[in-house]
Amino acid sequence: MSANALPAEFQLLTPYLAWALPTERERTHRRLNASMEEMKAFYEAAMPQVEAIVDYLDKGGVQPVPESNRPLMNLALALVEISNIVELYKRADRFDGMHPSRFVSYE
Amino acid sequence: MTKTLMTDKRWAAKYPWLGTGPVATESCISPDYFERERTLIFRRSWLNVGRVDEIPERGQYFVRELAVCHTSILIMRGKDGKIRGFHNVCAHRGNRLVPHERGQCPGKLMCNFHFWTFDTEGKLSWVPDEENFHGLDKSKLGLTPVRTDIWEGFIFVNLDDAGTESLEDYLDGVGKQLNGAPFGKLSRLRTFKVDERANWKVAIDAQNEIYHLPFQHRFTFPDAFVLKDNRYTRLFDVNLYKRHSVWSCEYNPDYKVSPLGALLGRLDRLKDPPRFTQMIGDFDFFLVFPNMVILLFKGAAWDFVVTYNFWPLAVDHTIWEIRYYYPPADNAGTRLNQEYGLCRLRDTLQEDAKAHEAIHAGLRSRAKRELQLQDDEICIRYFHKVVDDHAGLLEAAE
Ligand code: FES
Ligand SMILES: [Fe+2]
Repeated sequence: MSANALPAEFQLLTPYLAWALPTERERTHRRLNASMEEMKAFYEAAMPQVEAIVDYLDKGGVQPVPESNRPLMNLALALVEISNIVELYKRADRFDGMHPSRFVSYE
Repeated sequence: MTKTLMTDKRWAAKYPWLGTGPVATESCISPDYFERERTLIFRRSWLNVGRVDEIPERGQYFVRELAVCHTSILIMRGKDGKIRGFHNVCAHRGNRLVPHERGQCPGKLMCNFHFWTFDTEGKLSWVPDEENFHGLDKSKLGLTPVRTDIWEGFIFVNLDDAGTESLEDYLDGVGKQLNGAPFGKLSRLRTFKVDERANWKVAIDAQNEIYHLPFQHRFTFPDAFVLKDNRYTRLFDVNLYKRHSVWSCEYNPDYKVSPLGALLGRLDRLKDPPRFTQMIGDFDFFLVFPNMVILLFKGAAWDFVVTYNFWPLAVDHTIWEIRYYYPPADNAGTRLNQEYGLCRLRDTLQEDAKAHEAIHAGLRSRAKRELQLQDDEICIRYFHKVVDDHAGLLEAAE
């Protein structure tokens, strides 16, 4: 398995691998540049896998997450990042807040 | 079953001496008043500048720019394990000693101008070409210490060398309420820094009430807390201390978490979850005067903490620092659930931050010169009174 690949069990999610970004800053940036359709498609593909993803990640441990599991963990974190848009706000541009680029995050 | 009373105007009845009239806004936009705050508040109060877990090892240090106090502070854990604070200023000709944000001192800190060298306890240990100075007394030329003390892992400094109030006395009711709380069982998952064009008090005020929740946060968190008639917020409790305050809410039992939030809640299997039994409600908002907020959240499985530090740069310019502290996740469900809560709250704080600037611009226009405060906004009223008690009342400017 290459450094940026998902385990065989989660090949279905490979089309969304570009979301597997290691920092919140990068995940937010990607969210801000994604269309609603793209986020919905990612959400619908990933949501049914969440339980299996968590079980898989737990087998490798998370303190820290081993290198080979990082793409999967980062993909799951990106699902979290977009979930509010899909589940609650329903619009990619609903946001009535300060532009997130001014909310500078540090891991 | 919630215990929040739905009666109106409870807090004015609890604190009748505070009054109920409007609050003047000139202090939020006056450059003169800001200079008074600088001298009479920030240079005389205990200010939270970090946590002990930022420098767990001997010789580790961090630097905190305190622009509002016109200084830069070096916090260092000495070889003896003790944490000390110093002005980050070289004893030779005043150069900034440490030019970066944090680091590990190999035993000595060296100024990059002429290599004067200080040990981890701030003593001047080496001066190049010392023989060519005219009677230099190295023992008197250590770094200038700053009063530094620690409460529950939070490091505070006080720039008033003549001050005698201990940190413990200063923290007063906040300390009494939260002493022994398991802050040390949490670790920082994320920090946000927001550079905003707003007065520091405007930014604090916008956070220091829950009234706006169903309105400003109508998409993000409209009904997270108990509501009267399913419409308006009601506080569970309010406590005013010598300078500080806390308001508390209960969660709305009818609140529905989103599908992913519900799923991650079920998959969150943290062992030994820390609990903050010191909490008053399900959500407590402690304002530690002048510029720190400690938010305590009761969670389904574990409790967590968010802190704010508001650092004024000018009357209309503030850095808002936000830090999320969670129990270290020992499983993936907990880790993702934490990120879920973090993103959800972050989005509401971005709404708040936008409001800080919009409100400041509104006040700056002087179209209105007063805040009208309802009963649940009592902590804003108290905060402005404490500011005025320190910095003095301001006559309305033309
Ligand atoms: S100013 Fe620091 S060594 Fe000269
Ligand atoms: Fe808010």
